[in-house]
Amino acid sequence: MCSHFLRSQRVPSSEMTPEELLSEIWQKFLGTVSVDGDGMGLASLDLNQVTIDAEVPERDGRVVWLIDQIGGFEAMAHRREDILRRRFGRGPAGGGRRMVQPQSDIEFSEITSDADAPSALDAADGVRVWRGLLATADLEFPQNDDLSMLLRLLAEDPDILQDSSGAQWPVKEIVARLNHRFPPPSWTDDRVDNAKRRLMNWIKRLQRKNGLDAVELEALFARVARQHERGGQVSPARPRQSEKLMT
Amino acid sequence: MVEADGGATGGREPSDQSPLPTLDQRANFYLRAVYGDRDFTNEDYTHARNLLLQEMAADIAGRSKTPRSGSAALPEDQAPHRPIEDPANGLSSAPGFQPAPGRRLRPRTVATRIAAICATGAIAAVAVLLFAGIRPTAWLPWNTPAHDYRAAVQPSPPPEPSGRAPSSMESRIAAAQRELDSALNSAPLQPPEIAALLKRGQDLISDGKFRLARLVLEQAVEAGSAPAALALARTYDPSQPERSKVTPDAPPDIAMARAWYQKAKDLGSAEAARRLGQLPAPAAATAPSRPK
Repeated sequence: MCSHFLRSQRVPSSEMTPEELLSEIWQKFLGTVSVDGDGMGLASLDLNQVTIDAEVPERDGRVVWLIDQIGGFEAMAHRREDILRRRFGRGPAGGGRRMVQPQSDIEFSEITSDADAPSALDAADGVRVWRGLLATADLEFPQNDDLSMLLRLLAEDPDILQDSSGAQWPVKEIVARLNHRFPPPSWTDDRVDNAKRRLMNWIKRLQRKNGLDAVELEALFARVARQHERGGQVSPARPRQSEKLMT
Repeated sequence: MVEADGGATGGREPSDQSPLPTLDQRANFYLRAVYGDRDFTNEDYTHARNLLLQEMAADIAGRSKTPRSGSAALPEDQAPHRPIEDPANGLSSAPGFQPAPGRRLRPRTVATRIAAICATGAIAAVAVLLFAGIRPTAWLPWNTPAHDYRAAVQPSPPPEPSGRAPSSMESRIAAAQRELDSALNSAPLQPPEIAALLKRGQDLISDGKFRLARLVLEQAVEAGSAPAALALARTYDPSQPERSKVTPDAPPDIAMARAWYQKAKDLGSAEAARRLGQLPAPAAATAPSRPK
C-alpha cells in the first residue's frame, strides 16, 4: 500500500521509499501513549469478531482492521508530510518548502541505549525528566489540581527531597512551601499525603497502561521535555526514521 | 478532594482491561512489520525502542499544552541527584519520583508479562502476513469481486472504542477494503521506477546503509532487475570493495551473497556468474532461506 500510495502521488523513489513511509506509519501506530482516561493507547481487535484468512489478505479481517487503524491513504499522506517536514522544515502556505539548515548538534543529543556509553542519561536529562513529567501531567490534571501543584513544587524545588529517605517525605516542609507558594495557606499533612499517593499511583498507571518500566518511562519523559525545548516541532536535524534505524 | 487512587476523574481502570504490549514487544512488532520476519540484533532492537520512545514523546508533546512557565524555567543546576532506590520498582518506589542522573538506559530483557492481548496478536500476525511471507503478487485473485471483501468482517462488528456509530465504522472498513483492493491491483514497476530504486539502493550503499539498501533493491529484484540483484549480493559479499569504503550497518553473509548472486545470474548477469565462482565453497548447514 505504501508503494502504491507513493506511486499514485508520483513521489519518486529518490525522494522517499516505501520503506521509509512504512517505518513512519508503524512508528506512529506503535508510538501512541495512553495518558488520560482513554483506556488504551493502542486499539484492540477482537479476533472472535472477524474472519481470519491468512491466505487471502483482502478477506482477512485483521488486515482490514489494521488498514482502518492506520488510517489508509489519508494517513499515509500525513506521514509523508511528517517525513518531509523533518527533512526540510514546515513549508509556507502556498509556497515551496524552504531548506532548513541543521541546527546545533547540542540541541538534540540522543539518549542512547548503548551500554558502553559513559552517561546516557546525564544530569541535564535528569532535569528533563522532571519537565517531561510535568508536561505529561498537564494532559490529565488541571493546574489547580493538588497533584499538579505538588508535582510543580517538587520539580522546581528538587532539593526538598534531598534529605528524605525511602517513602518518607518531609511533609511538614512540603506543606510549608506549598502554603507559601499557593496562598491562601490551606495545605495540610493529609492533603500532601493524598496528593503524593495520587502521584505515585498515576506514575504506576502510566507504566502499566503503556507497558513501560521505570527506565523507559524516564527516557520518555526526557524526550517529551526535549520536544518542548524544540517548541514542539521536530528538528530538521534529526535523521530520517528509516535511516536512523539503520545507522 | 479527589480519591487518592484515581486520576483527575477519580476513577479506576477497568479490571478486565488487557495489558498493552511492552516497549520490547512494540519494538519487535515494528522491526517485523518494516523489515520482515528476520533475525534482529540487539542494536536493531535498541534503535527500534529509541524510535518508538521518540514517537511516544512526540505524541505527548503534540497533545500537551504549552509548557507551564514554572516547569520551563526549571534551572539546569536544580537536577535531582538522588538515584532511584529500588531499581526493581523504579519510579513507583522513589519518593517524589527522582530521576537518576547518569543512569544508563540499558537494553531491557524481554518482559515476562506476556499476557498476549488481541491487539498484539493481531498486529504481529498482520505484520508477518504483510511483510514477511506474503507478497502482493502471491495474494491472488484479481478477479475477486470487491463486494466479497466485506466477508473479511463478520456481520456483527464489535462496538468501536471511540463510540462512533456502527455505520461510520462500516464505512471506514469499506474504505479500508477499497484501499487494500486498490493497492493489490496496482500496476507493476516500470523501468524508470526500477532504475530509480537501483540508484536509491546504490546511494544508500555508498552511505553505508546496507540494510535499507537491501530493502530498496529487493523491490527492484522482484521486478526482474539483474543489476539490483547483483548490487544486493554485493552487500552480503565480504570481499567487495564497497564494504571497505564505508562502515556498513550490516555484516557480510556469504550464503546470502551466493543466493543473491545466483538470483542475479538467473536474471542474466554475467558478472554474477563470475562472482559465484569466486566465492568460498558453501558450508553444509548454511543454506539461506532467501531469496524466495
